[in-house]
Amino acid sequence: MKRYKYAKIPLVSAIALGLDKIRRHTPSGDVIINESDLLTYGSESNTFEQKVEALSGKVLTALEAKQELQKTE
Amino acid sequence: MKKVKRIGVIYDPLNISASLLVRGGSLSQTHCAERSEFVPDRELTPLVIVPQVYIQDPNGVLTSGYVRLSGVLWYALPKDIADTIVDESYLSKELAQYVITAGTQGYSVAEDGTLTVSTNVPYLSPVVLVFTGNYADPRDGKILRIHATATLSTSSVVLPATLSLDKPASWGFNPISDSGTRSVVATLRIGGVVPDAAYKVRYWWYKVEGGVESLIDEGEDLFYESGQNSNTLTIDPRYIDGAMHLICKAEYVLAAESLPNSPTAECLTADTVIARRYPNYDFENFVHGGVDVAAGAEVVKNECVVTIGREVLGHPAEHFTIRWSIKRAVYGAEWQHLGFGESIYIPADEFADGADVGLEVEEFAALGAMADGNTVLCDGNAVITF
Repeated sequence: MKRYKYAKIPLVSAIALGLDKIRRHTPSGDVIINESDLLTYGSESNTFEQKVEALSGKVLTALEAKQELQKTE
Repeated sequence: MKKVKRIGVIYDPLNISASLLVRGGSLSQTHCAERSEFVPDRELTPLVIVPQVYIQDPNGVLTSGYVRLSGVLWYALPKDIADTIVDESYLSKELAQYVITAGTQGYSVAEDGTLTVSTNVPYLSPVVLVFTGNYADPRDGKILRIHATATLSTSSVVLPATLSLDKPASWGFNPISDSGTRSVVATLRIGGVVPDAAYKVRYWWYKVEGGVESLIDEGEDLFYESGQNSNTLTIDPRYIDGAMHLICKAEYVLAAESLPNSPTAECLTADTVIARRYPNYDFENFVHGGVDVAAGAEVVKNECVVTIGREVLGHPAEHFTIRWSIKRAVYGAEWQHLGFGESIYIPADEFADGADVGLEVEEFAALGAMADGNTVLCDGNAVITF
């Protein structure tokens, strides 16, 4: 089974996508999103990684996403 | 005397459509026990549900559209409890304990009635979310009670874990053409993926001799070079006598858990057999000058020629023990050992009355070690003294 991916994207990107209010924010101000959140964003042929890159974000595993949320400033 | 008649407008009931809009996440999740992971993980990306109520007035007094409700409540009911509710009455005292409040772990309700679920629903423990709210019909002031439900469920996937080796079930080492050590690499995959730092993996390498499995011993097993407790076993096949059945066993646990000290009965296994074997070959005694020795000849050179297919093997003594013997052509003669080597010069007068020359070719056995008291002599002139 393919690993489900997450990403942290800048707040400004999350606001543009309408995700800022429904997704959790990291202590550093980024927003954690998941693969499904970007299903309708950008070109269908683009991968999740490409979409995240276009949003100036970084792809994370579940573990990494958890660590991002637990980080202290 | 006065007679009274009450006169009022009778409105047709409003057409009401209540729906729960999933704005983020999914009502269903998948749980992978192997990875102890929910997909999507609501602790990371919560589920957000927005209740929407649309009204349409058949009498046309009210403008059709979405309306806000008062007295909004959300319930999170175990599915078995929800199944017992037959009259859609969610106001009973028994159900009050399931109302989502500010103190309900994993759930929160915003002012506009939006529900955020940041908890994962265990497999086989579905939860029914019930939304209730009130709408006061502006036409007659009657309070309408509206509700909608959604079920949160989790399915389970089992990720098959596999262990494979980079060698086939059986493979060979040709002592003539092959040299050096050989490595066997084991790869563990969970759901087809090599586990990342979320897991700990441990490997053990066993050998099978006489049907008995035993852990490969660094001190006792001369073929062992390195790799016990790792995924790569390196061996020196020159020390293998015939075939050697190798088994890799592996255990994996989540990073937070502890690996067993030895493989359990449920461990993953993969095996392979390495055979140290000579290729098909043939040999003959090539007599220089032919078998009819010329009178006056002093010596007769006999040379051992080993062929593999159509190729003549150079320096066969590097791979075979070559033994020469002779038996004179007289009654009762015995075979007489002459010596070892790739060729032999025999005085011509040995053949004065005729004689047979015997040639024996024997494959080298596997390398080993000789013990003498406290000293062990290994092939390659290594000496170990205890």
